[in-house]
Amino acid sequence: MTFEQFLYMGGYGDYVWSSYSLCFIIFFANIATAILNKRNTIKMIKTRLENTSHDT
Amino acid sequence: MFQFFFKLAAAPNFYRFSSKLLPWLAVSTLLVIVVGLYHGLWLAPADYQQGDSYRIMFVHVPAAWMSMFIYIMMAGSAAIALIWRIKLADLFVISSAPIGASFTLLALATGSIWGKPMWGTWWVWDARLTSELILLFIYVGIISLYNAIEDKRSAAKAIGILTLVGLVNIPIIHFSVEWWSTLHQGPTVSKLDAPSIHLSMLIPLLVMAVGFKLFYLTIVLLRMQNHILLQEKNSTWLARKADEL
Repeated sequence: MTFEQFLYMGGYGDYVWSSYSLCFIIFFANIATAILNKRNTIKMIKTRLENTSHDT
Repeated sequence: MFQFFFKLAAAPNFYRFSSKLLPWLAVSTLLVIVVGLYHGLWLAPADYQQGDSYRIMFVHVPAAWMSMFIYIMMAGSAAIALIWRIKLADLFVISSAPIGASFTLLALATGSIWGKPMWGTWWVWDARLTSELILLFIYVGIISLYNAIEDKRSAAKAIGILTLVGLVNIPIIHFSVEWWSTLHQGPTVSKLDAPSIHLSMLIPLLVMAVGFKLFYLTIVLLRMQNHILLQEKNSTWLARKADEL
C-alpha cells in the first residue's frame, strides 16, 4: 500500500479522515480543559495563600 | 485492604496517589492508542462490503461504548455517594460528566459521517440515534444543573439523583437495535458465542476500546484533582503542600 492509497482510503478518505480529525479534536479539548482548569485552580490557591500570609 | 481504601478516600491521600499514577496512565494511553491506530488504519484489511469506510468504526464504536460506560460508572458512583456520603464519589460523578458528554458527541458525529456514505443519510430519527442524542442531553443537563446550584454539596446531591434517574436511558440505547427496526446494525462483538467480526478487525477495535478507557481514567483523575483543590482550598494540608503543587 502506498501513502497516496492510504490517504485515499478507497474513495472514503474524506469521511474517514474527518472522523479521525474529530476524534483528535475531542481528545485534545479534553486534555486542554482538564490541564487548564487545574492550573487555574492552583494559581488561585497560591494567590489566596500569599494574600493571607501578608495579612498576618 | 479496606484500611487501604479508607485511607485512599481521604482527599490528600487520593491527590498524592493520583499524582503518582497520572504520568504512567498518560504514557500507556498514548502507547495503546498508537498501536490501535496502526492496526486499525494500516494493518486491518478493507471490508468486503463497506470498503475502507468501515475504519470509522475504530473511533465510532469505542466512543459509543464509552458514552454508556462512563454513564454507568457515574450512576454507580452517584449511588455510593448518596448512600455512604463519600465525597470522592461525588467528585467522580461531576468529573466524569464532561468527558462522557464529549464521547457521546464524538459517537454521534462519527456515526453521522459514517452514515452518509453507507446509509445515504447523515441522520435518521430512529431509536438508536435518538436515544444516544437523549444521552447527550442528559449529560449536558447534569453539567448545567451542577453549575446552576451555588452550594456545591447540594449541587452534587442533585446531580447524583439526576444521574440515577437518567440511567433508564442506558438499556434503551443498548437494546434499541433489537426492539425497533432501524438502519443501525445489531451488536456484532457482544455476541458471546462467536463475534461476527473478523479477528483482524476485532483486535484494533478492542485495542482502541482499551485506549479510550485509559484516556478516560487519565482525564477523570486530572479533573478530580481539580475538584479536590477547589473543595479543599481552605484546608491546612493544602496550605502546607502549596509549594509542591
